Amino acid sequence: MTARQGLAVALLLALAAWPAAAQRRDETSATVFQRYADHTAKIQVVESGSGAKAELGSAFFVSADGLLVTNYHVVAEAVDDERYRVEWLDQNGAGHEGRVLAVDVVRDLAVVATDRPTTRYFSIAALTLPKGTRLYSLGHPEDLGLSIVEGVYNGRLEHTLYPKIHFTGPINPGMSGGPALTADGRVVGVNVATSGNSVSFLVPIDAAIPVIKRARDAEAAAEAPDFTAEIGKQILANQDTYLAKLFQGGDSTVRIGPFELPTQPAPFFRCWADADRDHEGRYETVDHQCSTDDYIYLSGSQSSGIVSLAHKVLLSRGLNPLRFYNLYSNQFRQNHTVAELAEASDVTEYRCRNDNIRRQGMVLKTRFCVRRYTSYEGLYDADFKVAVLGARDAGVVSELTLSGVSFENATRIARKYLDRIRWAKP
Amino acid sequence: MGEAMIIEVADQRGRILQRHRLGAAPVGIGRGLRNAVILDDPYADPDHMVIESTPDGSYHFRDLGSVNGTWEAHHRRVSNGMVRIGTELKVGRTTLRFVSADQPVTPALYDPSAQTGIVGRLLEPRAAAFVLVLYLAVSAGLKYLASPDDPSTAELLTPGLAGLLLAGVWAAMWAFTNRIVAQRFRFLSHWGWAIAITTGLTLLAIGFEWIGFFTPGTDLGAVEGALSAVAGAWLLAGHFQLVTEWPPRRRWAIATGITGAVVGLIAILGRPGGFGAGSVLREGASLKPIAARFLPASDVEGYFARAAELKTAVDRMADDSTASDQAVPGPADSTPKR
Repeated sequence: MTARQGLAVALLLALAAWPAAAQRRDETSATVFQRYADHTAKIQVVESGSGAKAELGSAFFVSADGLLVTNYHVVAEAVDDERYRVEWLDQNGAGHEGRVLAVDVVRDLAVVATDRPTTRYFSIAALTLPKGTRLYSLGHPEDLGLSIVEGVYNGRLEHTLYPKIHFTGPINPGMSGGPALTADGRVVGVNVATSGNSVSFLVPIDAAIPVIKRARDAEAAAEAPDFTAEIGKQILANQDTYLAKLFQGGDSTVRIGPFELPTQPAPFFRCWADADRDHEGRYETVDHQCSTDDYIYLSGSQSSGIVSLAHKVLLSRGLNPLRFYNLYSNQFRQNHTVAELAEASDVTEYRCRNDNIRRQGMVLKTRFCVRRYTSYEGLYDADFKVAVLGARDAGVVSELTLSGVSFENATRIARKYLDRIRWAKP
Repeated sequence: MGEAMIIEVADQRGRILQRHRLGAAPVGIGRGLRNAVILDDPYADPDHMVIESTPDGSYHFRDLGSVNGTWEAHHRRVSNGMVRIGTELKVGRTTLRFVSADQPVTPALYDPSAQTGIVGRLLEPRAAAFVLVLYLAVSAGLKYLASPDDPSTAELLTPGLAGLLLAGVWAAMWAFTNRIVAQRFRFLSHWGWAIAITTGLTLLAIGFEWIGFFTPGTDLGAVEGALSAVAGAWLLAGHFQLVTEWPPRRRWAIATGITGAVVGLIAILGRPGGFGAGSVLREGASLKPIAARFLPASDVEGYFARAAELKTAVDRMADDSTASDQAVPGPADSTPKR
C-alpha cells in the first residue's frame, strides 16, 4: 500500500466513525437538556416602579423547598435596594417573586428563595473530575431562551486568588448563575464569566455549600438580613486573608537599572515587563507591572479586591539632569496602575499625604492617597506612589494600588512595598 | 464792543499752524516778515491784507491788491469786509479762522511717557521689543528642558510664538480701546506689558516648583494663587495706565476689584462637590536633580503615623455622603453584565 492509499483509508475510517460519535454526543446533549431543563430557572431583577428588567441571569434549584443558586452579580442590584426586586421565571415563563437569602460576594454566589417546593432539583456535593470531562452548561444566553452548551472541564485555574474552574465552552451574558453539569447530572460549577473564544469560568460548586447553609439559617432567623453589613464583612475578611499572603517571606524583588524593586507579591499575581530603548538614544524606560486577575463584583460601577503595582524606570543616557528630571516629573504626574474602580457615589474623594521619606540612605518622594467606600465601613481604596530622588541619571516611579482593603492593611502593605525599594548592590 | 478774538492759521489739510490774538489794529497779514501774522504760503502776497479796527470796536479786513486774492467761504472773492467770530477767509492756500478767545479747550491729555515706572518705560519701542525677545527666550529655554529629544528651532519657538500671538490679540483689544478713548494707538506698549506679566507668571510658577520641591507636604497652592491674582491685577492696572488718566490709586482699586471678582468666580465654580478623586490623584509634583543629602525628609514611622489622619478625613467624608445619599436616588443601571 502506498502512503497515499494509506491516508485515504484512514480518512475513510474517520468518516465512517464520525457520524456515530457525533450522534452519540447529540443524544447526550439532548438527554441532559430533557432531564435537567426543569431544574433551572430564569432570574431577572426588575425595577419596581416601571417593571422594566434591569438585569438578567440564570439559576438552578438545589433543594426540595425550592432554593435557587445563582451569581451574586445577577441579583446585586436588588440587594439592599428597595427600588429593585428579584423575579424568577418557571419553565412556562410565569414570573414569581424571589427573596435573596444569602450572598457570597467574594465567590459571586447568591441563594434565592422561591417558596415553591419542587422535586426537580440538583443535589449539591463537592466533586473532583479528570481534565477533559465533557460538561453541559445551561442558561439563558442573551435572553434567547433556555439553551444548552457543550464544553470541556479544564481543571481549576492556577495563579488565581479565588478558585475557579476553566470551562472550554461558550458561556454568554445571561447564562450567569446557570449550572454546568456532567452527563449524569452532577453539578460541577456555576457559570460566572467568560473571556471570549470559549474560554469560560465556573465557580466550583463546593463554594455554594456554605452559602446554602447560611440561607437556611437566615430563613430560620425569619429576619431580613442586612446585606450591606454582611457584604462589608465578607470583603473585610477576604482581604485580610489574601493580603496576609502578600510579600511573605522571600525577597520578591526585581533588579532594574540601579534599583531593586518589589515584584510578584504572591503567586496569584501576573507580571509583565517592557523595555523601550529607542528615545533617540537619550534615555531608556523599563516598565514592570504586576496585578491580580481576579476582582470582586460589587455593583455595576464598583469592583473590589484588585491589587496592582507598576514600576517605570527611567535611565538617562547623557541627558542634562534638568531635562532628565523634567521627563521624570512628567512620569511622576501620570498614574500607572488601574483606572477608576468606582463611581463618584461609591467612594469618597481621595485624600493624600505628600512627603519625602528617608530610609537607608535613599530619599523617596511619596504620595499616599486613600478614599473610603461610602456604603461599606472599614473598606478603602489606597494608592501609594513613590519616586526615588537623588540620582542625576536614573529614576523610578512606582505605584501600588489596593482596592477594597482595610486602612491598616493599606499602610502595612505600603510599608512592605517601600521596604523592597532599594539601590541595587553594584 | 466785540469780544476778544483769535486768528487761527490753518494749512490746506486743516492743521492749525499758528494762533494770533487780535489786539491793537492794524494787523498786517502776508508772507513779508514785517507782518504781524506771517504766512508760510507761496500763494500769498508779501503784503496780502490787513485787518483794521473801526471806532465802534469792530474789525474789518481789506485786501491789499494780492495776486491770488482773498476769498470768503462759498468761494466768493472779496476785497474787504467785516470780521466777526466765525468768519473764515482763504488767503492763498491758507485758511484764516476767527474764533472767540473764550472758547473752551479740552483738558490736557495724560502722557504716560512722562511717567516713570515699568509701564511708562514700555512706551519706548526698544523696551517693549526687549520684553518680547526675553519672553521668547524663556519659552524656548523651557521647551528645551521639557523635550528629551533635541527639538528643532521651530519646535523651540512655537510655544513662545503662540504666547506672543495670544498676548497680541489681548493687546490689540486694549490698543483699539485706547484709540477710541484717548485717540492713541499704543499696541506695542500693551503687548509688551501683557508679555512682561506672562513672563513674570511663568517664572513665578518655576519658582514655586522649586520651593514646593524643598517643602514636601506643604500646600503652597494658595500662596501661588494669591500671587498670580496680584499679577493679574497688576496687568489690568498697567493697561489702565496706558489708556486712562486715572491716578494710580484708582487704577489699582478697579484692577483689584475685577481680579477679585474673577478669582471669586473661579473659586465658586471649582469648589469641591464634583468627583474630585481624579483631580487630586493627577495633581503633580515636580522632581528636581538635587543630591539626597540636601533634601528634607521624614522617617518611615513618622510618615505613616501622620498618614493615619487620612483615615479620619475620608471616614468623615463617607459619613457625610451617606447622610446626603439617602435623599438623592441614583440612576438605574440597565445593562446586563457578563
